[in-house]
Amino acid sequence: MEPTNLYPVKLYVYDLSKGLARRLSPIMLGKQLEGIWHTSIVVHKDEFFFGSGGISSCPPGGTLLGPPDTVVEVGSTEVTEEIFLEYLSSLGESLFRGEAYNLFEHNCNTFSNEVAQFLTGKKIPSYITDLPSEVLSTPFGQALRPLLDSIQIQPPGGNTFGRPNGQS
Amino acid sequence: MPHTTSKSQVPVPVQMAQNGQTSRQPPGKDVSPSIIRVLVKTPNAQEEFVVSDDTTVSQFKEAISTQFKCNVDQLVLVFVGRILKDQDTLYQRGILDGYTVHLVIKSKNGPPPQPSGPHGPLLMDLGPREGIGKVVGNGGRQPIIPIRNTVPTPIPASEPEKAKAQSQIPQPRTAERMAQMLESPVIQQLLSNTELMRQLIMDHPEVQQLMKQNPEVGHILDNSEILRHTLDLARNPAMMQEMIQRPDMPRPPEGFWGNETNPGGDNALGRNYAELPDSLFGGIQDPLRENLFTEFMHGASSLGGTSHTQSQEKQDSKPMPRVLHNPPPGHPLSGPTPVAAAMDQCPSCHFQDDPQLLEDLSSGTRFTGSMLQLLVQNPHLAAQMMLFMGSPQLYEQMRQQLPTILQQMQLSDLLLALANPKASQALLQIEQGLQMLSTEAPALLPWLTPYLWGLGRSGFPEATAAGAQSKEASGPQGRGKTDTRYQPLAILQRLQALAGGYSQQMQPPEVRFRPQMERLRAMGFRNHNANLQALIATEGDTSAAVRRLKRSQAS
Repeated sequence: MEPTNLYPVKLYVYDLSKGLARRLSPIMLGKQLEGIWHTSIVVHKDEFFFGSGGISSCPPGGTLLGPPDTVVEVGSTEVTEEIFLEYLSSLGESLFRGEAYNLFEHNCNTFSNEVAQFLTGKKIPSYITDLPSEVLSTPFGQALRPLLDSIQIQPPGGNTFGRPNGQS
Repeated sequence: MPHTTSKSQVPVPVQMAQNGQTSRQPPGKDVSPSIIRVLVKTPNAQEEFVVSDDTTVSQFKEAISTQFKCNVDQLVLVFVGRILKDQDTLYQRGILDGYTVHLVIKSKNGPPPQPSGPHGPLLMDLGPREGIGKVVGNGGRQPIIPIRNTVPTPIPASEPEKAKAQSQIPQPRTAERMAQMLESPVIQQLLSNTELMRQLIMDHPEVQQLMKQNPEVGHILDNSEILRHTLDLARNPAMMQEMIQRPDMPRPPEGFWGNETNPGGDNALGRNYAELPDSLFGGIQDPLRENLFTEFMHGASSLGGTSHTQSQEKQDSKPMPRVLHNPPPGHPLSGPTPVAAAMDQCPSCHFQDDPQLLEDLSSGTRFTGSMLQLLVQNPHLAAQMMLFMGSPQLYEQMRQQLPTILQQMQLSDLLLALANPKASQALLQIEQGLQMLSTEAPALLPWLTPYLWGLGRSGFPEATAAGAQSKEASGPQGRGKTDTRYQPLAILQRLQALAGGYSQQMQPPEVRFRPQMERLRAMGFRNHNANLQALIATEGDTSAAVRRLKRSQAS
């Protein structure tokens, strides 16, 4: 019986293609993709995600993407909001700066996975983290790679975790 | 926030835990303490620690604090989401060999402030629609550049701390902010959302007034294609400046607005669209005529003052590469490959007349984002669409509005062909083989020039001439080959050139141009050699050859 509080941790999953991927991926890629997943972690009544502008936060479902397509219960954590924000700010200065964003290797799902493991010890579902390799394993994906590499996603509607002089 | 750090909670559970410990330890632990390696991971770094598994957390923390050079008080250890309390042992918490424990080092001056600071200067205001409306609505009245003066006005709608930050921005710097704002992916995503932009523009009372006066404006606003192009142009200040500066911009050949439009009508809209030159509107209008993209390129190539007929005046097309050499800074989508792919799409293939232009474009110039946005609209480019298109409604709308394009694109054939991954791999191999040949055996280049044309090494006039002919032959099929990848498209066309036009290319010009020569002779041009030269120079274009001959006769 623990007196410490447990905070629920949820993963909000958005399909950036709004269903187009499910329809067109068999034709375009030769394999079925259910969606182009963007994820964020919701804890302490705030949504946190990583984009080309760095780590951002907003009220849950508060980005321009609207409400999530799926919500996954990751687990619960004892980590308080204070400690969590501390953790996020050091992440934002080291591993998850805005310029570190890469659509294939180091994207929003990388961040969500990292944070989920910190908060609960569990990873996010593998169909999300496997998406880049799924795409890159098709000739289409390989061909489009130079173009896709330069794409940066930043769902609008969030505040960045600012260093005082964080504005670029 | 009622929650305090774990340290202050320690006194209460300590007794419980200690009791638990003493009672638990003798029966629970009958193996000798083993040495375990624990990985301690911070956001910045990670270190491995070799400890015994009955080490208490506090002892562990001391070891960590010496390693990371901080106070024990600053350390917070998290394992499986649980904060490790000092009095537990690692074993009790289930930390076994090879496990990772997360560490947060609290900064000395306490936790950072709540997430504050707007993301970029103004993007926060763009969350709610009203904010967007204010920003864009005000700008609709004037050219886009002076929008900077209206930037601080939406601020009162946002929270006070953001307002404070904004009001501190000195006026001269809003120009940079504006440029930043325009170039940011947020704005570009917003601007890409034609529905949204259209609604915003329609809501503006001045626009509504204008629409009452001039129904053509409504027609424009309803056409999402035009809106999209306009927004793309607005997005690229460099291209806009270039176009504005060119005084000799030709008017569109057909009346874009219809003949009944008053001369000032398009100016009014031009104000709203930041005074874009009309030739560009002429270029992008009429999506039902062939490929929309072709029209855009018409408009763009008309910048160089070339006529719409195929002409070989290279000097006229020189300004075009200059325009294109203004790369939009920081644009997320850039790269020559999709541009070249789009250009290969042009069924009328103006660029084969102008190898210089094609070479400039394909040799790495970063074309405007508008080109790429056109590709985005293209229903075949589902990968880009997945990422950028806002809604299925837009997709449906596009499909409804451009049925002819879809027919021409021969969607299903191409995609089914591409869907076969082996086919695409085969195409890749062909491309690679050709590239290797060009590096390994340059002596073969003259023979390969027809095939290399697509790769942009188009310095060879015979290549372009041959390419032109074969391309025209494969035009109807070529039109259907909309591809996201530049290379296989070129390969496909080259293969078709191989199949269809091989014999043609290998024949001497005299044989190739025999019908044209006949025509010239019938017209009265008796000089066989001069005719031949003219035809070679104009690649078999009889009318252009006639003009050349006339000019040379006159001189």
